[in-house]
Amino acid sequence: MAESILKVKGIKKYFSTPKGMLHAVDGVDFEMEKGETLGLVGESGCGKSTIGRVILRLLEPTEGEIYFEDKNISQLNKKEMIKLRRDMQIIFQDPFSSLNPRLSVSEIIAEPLIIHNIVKKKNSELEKEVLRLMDLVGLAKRLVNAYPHELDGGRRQRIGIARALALRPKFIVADEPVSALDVSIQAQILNLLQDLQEELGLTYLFITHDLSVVKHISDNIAVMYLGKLVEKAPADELFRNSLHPYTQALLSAIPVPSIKSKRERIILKGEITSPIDPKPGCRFAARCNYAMDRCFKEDPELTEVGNNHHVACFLVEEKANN
Amino acid sequence: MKQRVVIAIALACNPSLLIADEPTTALDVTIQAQVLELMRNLREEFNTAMILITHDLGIVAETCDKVAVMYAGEVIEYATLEQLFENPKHPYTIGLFGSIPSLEHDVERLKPIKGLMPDPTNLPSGCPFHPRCSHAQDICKERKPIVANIEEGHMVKCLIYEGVIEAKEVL
Ligand SMILES: Nc1ncnc2c1ncn2[C@@H]1O[C@H](COP(=O)(O)OP(=O)(O)OP(=O)(O)O)[C@@H](O)[C@H]1O
Ligand code: SF4
Ligand code: SF4
Ligand SMILES: [Mg+2]
Repeated sequence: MAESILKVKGIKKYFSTPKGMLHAVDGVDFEMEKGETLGLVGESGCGKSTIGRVILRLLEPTEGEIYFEDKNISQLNKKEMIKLRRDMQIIFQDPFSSLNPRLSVSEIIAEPLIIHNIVKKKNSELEKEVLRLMDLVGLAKRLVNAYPHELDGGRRQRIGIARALALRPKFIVADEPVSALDVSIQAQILNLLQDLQEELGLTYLFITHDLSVVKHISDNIAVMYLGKLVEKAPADELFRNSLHPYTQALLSAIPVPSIKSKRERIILKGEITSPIDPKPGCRFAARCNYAMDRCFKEDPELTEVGNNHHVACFLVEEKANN
Repeated sequence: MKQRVVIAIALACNPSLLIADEPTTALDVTIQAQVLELMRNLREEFNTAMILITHDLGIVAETCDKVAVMYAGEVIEYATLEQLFENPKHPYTIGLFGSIPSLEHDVERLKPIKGLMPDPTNLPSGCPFHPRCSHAQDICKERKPIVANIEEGHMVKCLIYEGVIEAKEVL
């Protein structure tokens, strides 16, 4: 088995809101290997970004532990935090709002290098490093003095990637990095992320709600529903043999751009229920076609059913036991 | 829920044509599936024609009978659903299919169209797709393609199908 790089144990993140306690992430465990891409999918508001931010310690977890390269990073002092920033970076969905509009391309990419004292301000080494990073992500040299608003979404995302790579991180949370882009630009950026991963041995936590993108880019996929992981498996296995009723409905709902594949569609009833003070039991029970009495009382645990395939569902558990 | 109300109101007037502009783009897939099914059922019931504006070829495959593909303000390919998905002809349409990750066939890398959408206030001369087209030749910079009929119901605007130039590889 390859080297483990990240392990999260029982992470919870609650937000207190006027209406009650919002369980954004409610007990999540998983592990990632060096060089792997783990796709984290789920519908809007299920807690994907919150997990990413908690792992990077941009948000404090309410409960739980995070290990990066076997070191517990849940409690770090300021100095250790700064060191951690070098190893773990994030790429955001909206390249525009995440870039400082008053800085030029080269200033944006240079900023982390200066903040972390890696190179001194305004020397030729800095300039060389910025150009190296621009070249790495496919940004033309002539754009060094351009401003983000002068550029298209694809190029802006390349700046965001160059900036994230400036500190030579090992681990990157990519939070919907292509969701705001046109399909042909999206494909260009996906190819870039894959090339960079091969070249630099990066590990990606790739957050998206686009299931075709996630299948294409991921080694393993974790499916999230209302703050919990409901299923996790190698990408092919998940698409071939999904076991959780929510995953099955989610996968069957994807419109496939092909007229040959006429698939059975599972239409779910209702909409996602509120994450505020959720009732005990399976979070999906209110919409599940297979819900039993037990599902409304107890929480199903994420359990391995073989082949690195993990599911949190009583139905699957009972079938496996029989 | 809101989207369903809007659709219900639109159809309550019993229109003969419904224009749906990206009706499910902001929705999650499971909710999108509910809305698309609702639209399909209502359309059958009221026998309403529909123009569906979308960037999602998956939704097109599921919903439409005919497809018009637009680039830089023009329809560059028009065909029945079967013709377009089985036999896309325009280099731009082919590029679109190469850009979307497929759930059915795994590929190592996608084949995106190179370059960017042109600035609508400053469109390229000749064929507007020429700066990005892998088949482009000098004449594509000057001559604007006109509609060529490939077969009954299948039309393309590209000099290859006017017989002016040859494709660099079989399309
Ligand atoms: N700072 C905050 N204060 C209160 N609630 C929050 C905060 N941040 C997130 N939430 C809530 O936590 C839940 C999870 O949000 P999160 O952004 O992690 O979801 P997501 O899966 O990334 O969704 P999307 O696909 O829309 O990006 C949501 O209900 C959201 O409203
Ligand atoms: S635990 Fe029960 S309600 Fe939850 S997904 Fe399984 S069968 Fe459905
Ligand atoms: S006319 Fe020329 S540039 Fe335009 S699509 Fe056809 S081959 Fe490409
Ligand atoms: Mg998010």
